[in-house]
Amino acid sequence: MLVTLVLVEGGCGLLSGFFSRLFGGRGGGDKRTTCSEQGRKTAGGQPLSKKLEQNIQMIRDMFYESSDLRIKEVPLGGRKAPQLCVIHIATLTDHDIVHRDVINPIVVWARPQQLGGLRHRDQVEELKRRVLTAQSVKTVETDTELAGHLLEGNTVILIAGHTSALSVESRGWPGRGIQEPSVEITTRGPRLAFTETIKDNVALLRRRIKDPALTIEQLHVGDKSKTDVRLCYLRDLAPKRLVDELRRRVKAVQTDMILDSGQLENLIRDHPISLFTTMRSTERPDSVASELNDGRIALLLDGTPFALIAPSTFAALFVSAEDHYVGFPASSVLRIIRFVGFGLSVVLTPFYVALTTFHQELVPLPLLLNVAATQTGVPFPVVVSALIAEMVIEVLREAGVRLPQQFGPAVSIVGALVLGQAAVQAGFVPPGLVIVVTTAAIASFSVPRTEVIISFRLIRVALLLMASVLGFMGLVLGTVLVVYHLASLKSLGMPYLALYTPGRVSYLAEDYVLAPQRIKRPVRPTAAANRVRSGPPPELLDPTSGPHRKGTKR
Amino acid sequence: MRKKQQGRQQQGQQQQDVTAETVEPNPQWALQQAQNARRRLRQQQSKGGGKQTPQAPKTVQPQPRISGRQLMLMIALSRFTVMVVFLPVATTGTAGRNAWLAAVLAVLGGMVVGTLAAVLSARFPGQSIGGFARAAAGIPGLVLAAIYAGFYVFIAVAETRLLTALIIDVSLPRTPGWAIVLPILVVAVYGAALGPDTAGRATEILITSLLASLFLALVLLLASRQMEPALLRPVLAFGIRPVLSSTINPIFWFAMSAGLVLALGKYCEPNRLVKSVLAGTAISGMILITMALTATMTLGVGEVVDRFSPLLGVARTVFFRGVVERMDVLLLNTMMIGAIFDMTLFLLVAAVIISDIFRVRGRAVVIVLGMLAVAPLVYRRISVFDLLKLFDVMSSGIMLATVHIGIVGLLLLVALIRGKKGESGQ
Repeated sequence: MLVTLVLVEGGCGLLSGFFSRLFGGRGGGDKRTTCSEQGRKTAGGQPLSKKLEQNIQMIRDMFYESSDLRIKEVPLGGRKAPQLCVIHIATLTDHDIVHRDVINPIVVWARPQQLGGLRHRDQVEELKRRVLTAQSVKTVETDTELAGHLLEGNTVILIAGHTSALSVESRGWPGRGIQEPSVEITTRGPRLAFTETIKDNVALLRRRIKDPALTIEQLHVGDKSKTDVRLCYLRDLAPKRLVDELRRRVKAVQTDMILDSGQLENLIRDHPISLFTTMRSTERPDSVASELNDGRIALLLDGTPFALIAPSTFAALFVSAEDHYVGFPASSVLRIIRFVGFGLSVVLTPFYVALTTFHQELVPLPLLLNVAATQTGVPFPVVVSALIAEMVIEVLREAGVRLPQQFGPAVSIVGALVLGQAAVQAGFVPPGLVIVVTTAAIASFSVPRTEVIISFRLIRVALLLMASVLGFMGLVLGTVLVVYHLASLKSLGMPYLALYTPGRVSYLAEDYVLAPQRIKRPVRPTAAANRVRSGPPPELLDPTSGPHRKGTKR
Repeated sequence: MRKKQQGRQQQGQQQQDVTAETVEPNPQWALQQAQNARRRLRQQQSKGGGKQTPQAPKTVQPQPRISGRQLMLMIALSRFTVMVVFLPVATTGTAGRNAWLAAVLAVLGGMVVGTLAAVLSARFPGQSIGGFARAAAGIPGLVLAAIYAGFYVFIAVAETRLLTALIIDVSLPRTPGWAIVLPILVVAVYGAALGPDTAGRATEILITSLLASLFLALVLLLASRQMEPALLRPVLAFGIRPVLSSTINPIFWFAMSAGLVLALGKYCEPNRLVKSVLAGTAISGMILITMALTATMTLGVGEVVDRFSPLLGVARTVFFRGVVERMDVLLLNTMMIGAIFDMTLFLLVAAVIISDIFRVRGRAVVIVLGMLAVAPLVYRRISVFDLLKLFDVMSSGIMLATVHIGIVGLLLLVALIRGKKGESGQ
């Protein structure tokens, strides 16, 4: 609210001038002048007054008598006039904390027998050290600071005759409890996901990385939303230049509101118009912990259960959290399957269109006759049929997502079956094409990152159009175009195709085919300051060699 | 002033603070926001109002860099399609069954020319031929550099026209040439405009797919035909002369690496240039030797010479009953990846040289070169057979002597005589 005042200050000035001219210095202009003055005053961070009433009035003006602003005045030492005031915003504070840790101790302390003999100037120190039992008590000197504390959910205590106030941490608001991941579902591994409360998210992260090197910096974004952003990294692993760059980008964001990590991502990522996202988002604390251990940096935002991770690479699109929890052969095969799925989802339909439109000579005669027989009677060219089929599948998928959980899958399945069968029987789409298009659509879901699936579909449609014009040549041209684009992308200055482009076996083994950690010491990606990971645990070392053997002999 | 300093110090401390469980409100942040609001208001007032839109922060783009390995792969990939599709026929046509021997000798010749260029480039680190030609030879040097850049555009255009003719012949007989050439040009211009570091990274992806395709094709080829090593004998039955004359054409193509080094060497560490040239030429040479050996052993000299491309010819006869036929179409389209990359790389080489001569932005030069290339690419009067004559022994020998050896050697000689040595421009 305070900063809102600050931001509208300029606008108030303009309107003030306008109304002054219109009404001869009266009416709306006068009101706005007050607003402007208030804004200027708060922006300057003026010291608090010694007079309690003046401070209370200042806060009332600041918050325009908001209904959730609570001001409780307490007389000290049996005096009639209030000497102390407890202020908090009810919707941002935990009532239990406020009453148990702030108001009750103050009321007890404020009795005459408690305050007897205590000098006036010692009262604040006494309150801070002995009376208030909350986790954190800070001293506040200016009105700006005071408003900031109130908006953070703290309770502020003003005392008559003092130019400083006390701020007690008492934040608490309704929120969702910690639940299972809803998007990144795995068969093995932890079942905890981030929530909308940043404090819980930081705690989830701290629980996994019990290392003092884990640094969590606090930043704010959004002039009005003042969204709390935490920059998380491991000091000994994350390259300093990347941390500095990400911090710089977050701080440079100028916008009114950031309500979700996706909004922030669009403002700070490299290549904002690219189809490929250069920052990874995840709802799993274990994934974030794993990425931090690779020297990457995470951004947690208050109000969103998705963390952002940078730098990210193309290979990261195919990594699932459970890859690290199952054996290396299974995880390696799964990764290869995901790559194949990606290839099929992008290329299969354009390949079919090119084959049936331009390069029939590649298809053996019996198969070609079958294909031609199914194509007979279809009123559209193959490419139009393919586009119609793609569109129908997209509509079904989108409808399945929007429908209530009870109906979504049923409608999708019934719709796909009935529509597909009906379309083939009616001769709108050849059956071979239905198989190809549905296979491509299903293959796209093998990619763990749901945010890029739509990008893959768009690329597929583009390749489809190119293949329908130039056959395989169009497919080749489109593929080269995509490769060029991918090669030009960077994430925080790191090549998006990194881990592939260094071309070293260790990188490939780590990111494309997960190497067994017991056999070799995999390395961290090039972004990490310290590339070598910890070695195998001691019990896995060969007991017949080295110091173990010598010890046995002795 | 003192308050300001204190404020800055506090702000700096808060940025570095490790957040414990307590959340610290940031009054300085509020102050900063107010100042930002005032600044934005002033900007709006100066612009006459308007809605404030969110701004994406700008990142300072560093100078592009390519590694020695990327340069090596670029050199190897830039001749890939020529080595696979055209050169085996050209070499076998003159050297007969000794084509593989000609390929070995040509590799050595290509290495010499490439090393010459690498030595020249290493003397002027951080500069392309367009930049150091002036330092070495003044205005005449600039003219030579411009000719050199134009030569690479010419080669790119000619090679693309030839491959387009092949595509039309094999795969798209009813498609007009311009409909194939123009999309290739657009993709090549896009790739070149993205810069050398992008080309370097793309190389690593593309060469993998091309080598995999070539390997698969060779396996199929070997599986389908009985290889007869006897077809290679007797060695040097007609003396060394035909072998030597047939090396000229491959040397010319191997020497194309000189342009890459002289233009893109500025983005690479100088001490890696020679190694990259030698390794890149060796990879290309291995491909050519393999193709020459395989073609001769499977088809025989007579059949190889009769075909436009021996590999495609053999692939045409390979089929999996009931699954796929005409493997040559698939193979040719895969090889087109190499051709598109050739054009990208040669446009990039020319653009880097020209942008250094005229000190203009490389991206703009690429676009202009792309627009200039449209006319010769789509001009129908230019016959494919005339273009093929450009790459026969005589023509390629002249181009090798004048451009690769003449210009590069002349500049190196002048630089050595004058004792010129450049400083790092990076």
